[in-house]
Amino acid sequence: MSLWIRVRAGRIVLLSMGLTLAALALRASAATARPSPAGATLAVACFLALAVPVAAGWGCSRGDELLESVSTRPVRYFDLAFVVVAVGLTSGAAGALQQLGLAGAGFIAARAGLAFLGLMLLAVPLAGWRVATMVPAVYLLLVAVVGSGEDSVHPAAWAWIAADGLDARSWILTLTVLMVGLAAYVVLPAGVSPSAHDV
Amino acid sequence: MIRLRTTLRVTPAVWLALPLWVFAGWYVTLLAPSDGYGLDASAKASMTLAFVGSVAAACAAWEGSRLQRAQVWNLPSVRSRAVIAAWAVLPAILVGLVAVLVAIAVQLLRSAATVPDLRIVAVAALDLSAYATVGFAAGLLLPFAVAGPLALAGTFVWIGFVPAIYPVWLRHLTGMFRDCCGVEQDLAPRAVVASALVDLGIVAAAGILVRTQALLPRRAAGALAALAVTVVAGVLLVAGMTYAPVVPRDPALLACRTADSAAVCLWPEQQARAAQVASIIAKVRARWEVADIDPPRLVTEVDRSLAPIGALVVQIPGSWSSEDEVIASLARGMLPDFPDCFAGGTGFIAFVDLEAWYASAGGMSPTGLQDRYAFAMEPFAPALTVVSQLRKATSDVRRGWVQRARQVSQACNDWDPKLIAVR
Repeated sequence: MSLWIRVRAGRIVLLSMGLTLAALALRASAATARPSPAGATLAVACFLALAVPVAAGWGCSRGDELLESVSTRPVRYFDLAFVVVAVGLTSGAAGALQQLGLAGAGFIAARAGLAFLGLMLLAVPLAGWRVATMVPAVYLLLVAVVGSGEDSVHPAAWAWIAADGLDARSWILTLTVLMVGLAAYVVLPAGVSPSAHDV
Repeated sequence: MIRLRTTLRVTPAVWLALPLWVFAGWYVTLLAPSDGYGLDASAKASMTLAFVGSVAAACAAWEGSRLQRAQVWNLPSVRSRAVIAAWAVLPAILVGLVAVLVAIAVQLLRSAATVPDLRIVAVAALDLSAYATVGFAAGLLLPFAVAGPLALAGTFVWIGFVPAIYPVWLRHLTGMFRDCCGVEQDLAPRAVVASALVDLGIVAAAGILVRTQALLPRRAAGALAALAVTVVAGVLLVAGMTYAPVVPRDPALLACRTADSAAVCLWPEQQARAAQVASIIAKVRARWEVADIDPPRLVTEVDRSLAPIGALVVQIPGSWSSEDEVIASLARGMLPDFPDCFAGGTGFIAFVDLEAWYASAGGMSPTGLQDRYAFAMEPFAPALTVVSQLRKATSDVRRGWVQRARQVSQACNDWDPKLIAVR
């Protein structure tokens, strides 16, 4: 277990969680901008929320894919627990920070982190951990570039991470994506990429 | 050099080329078209850099990661590392550049303009080279699972979020000139040079970072120094500029014609309807004379800062505009400059009333007047009420009112509401 967590770069993931929460406590994290006229108005917190899913996804990509695929221990489910705990704890702490008045966009970051996790998990069976971390980043980019809804305040339905932090519909969508991602990860077969032993 | 077939097989930039070009072409259709001005159309299309640059950086990160994973980068090689890197990032840069060119072409078509601005294209190429180099360096230094998202989101934050940061001139360092240019404006050379300098700094910093001979802290210090020097140089160039990277356009490009004893000078983009505009101006001048408004002898589209004293500076709307819109632009041109008040002027109502009066006296249709000025700003009378009072007033009353309204428009403090009354 200790080797597994070391291979997953547990300390670095923990560090990314700490840094993300520290950054969320800065006032600038709640600043919003609309970088594209056709894009949604996004809080800086949405970008910060990318750090932990990416770091955890990278940690999971560090294992020996081929070796772990024949392990007696359910490494695949350990990995799932690892990313869920890392992102879940960060999201929970981000929400708590906002409740305590220590962060301005804690709920936004929490929701974005969970949505990114769902999207990443959805991509893992198809592309592997190494490439799956790109999926939430691409989604975030699309939201920022063309995620505008009826006006600059309301994002398009598919760009829910740009909605207000307490918007109920956006939380339902986030949890739906997370559930779908979890189901996809569990149900779809874990393919070992042809390049698993390239290095 | 990499063989073409290999490039097609292993390069994500090539796989993404067609979707990216289509997306870039579609994206600019979401923007307002420019008014026949090639520079403006090109500058607006440079907004695609926000995602094209991100994709180029992420694709380059993939290439760097590929070379690192295969341990090719650290092997002794006949070619220099700079040449290897250049060939690796070239597809990402070219695919990105074509995407920007597609966006420019679509925007030119939508804007009825013909010639793209080569400075915008050159800066876009340099921007893409810088982002791709940084992405490539990230791919070499970090695993792709981190380098890819970092290159994608980091590039976007640089291009998309820096323009939202104060001071407003910081945006000129990004090389995305979305706030350029009205038809009377040209791209500011300072902004072009500053963004090019920063791009070179980014390339140099990335190059220093991936040098394998030196220790990482040394490389990081060198990269930071290269970046700092060029950013400071860029800042010195653009500091103090407004949010728009513009300078007045060369007045020598204006084409002038005489219309009813007044000279009308328009930019080349307006030449197709110059005769029509001149005829509207002639009619408006005649009506103004009847309404005791002194018509200007020169109507010009030149930037206000270069206009001769007494000239009426206008911005004639595009070919799609109606006669009422031309009259509205003439009425706006007749207004005094906004006052330079610490907390903003207090006589805004005077601008509204004056514009309504100039437009009405110039012959704007009743519908046009209703659409533009049929609103009231408490506690003042609606502009159209003032206009109807002025229509019934004597010549002296009209002239006196215009004089007082122009004084009120420059007020920074409280003023007597009687000043704006028609009496």
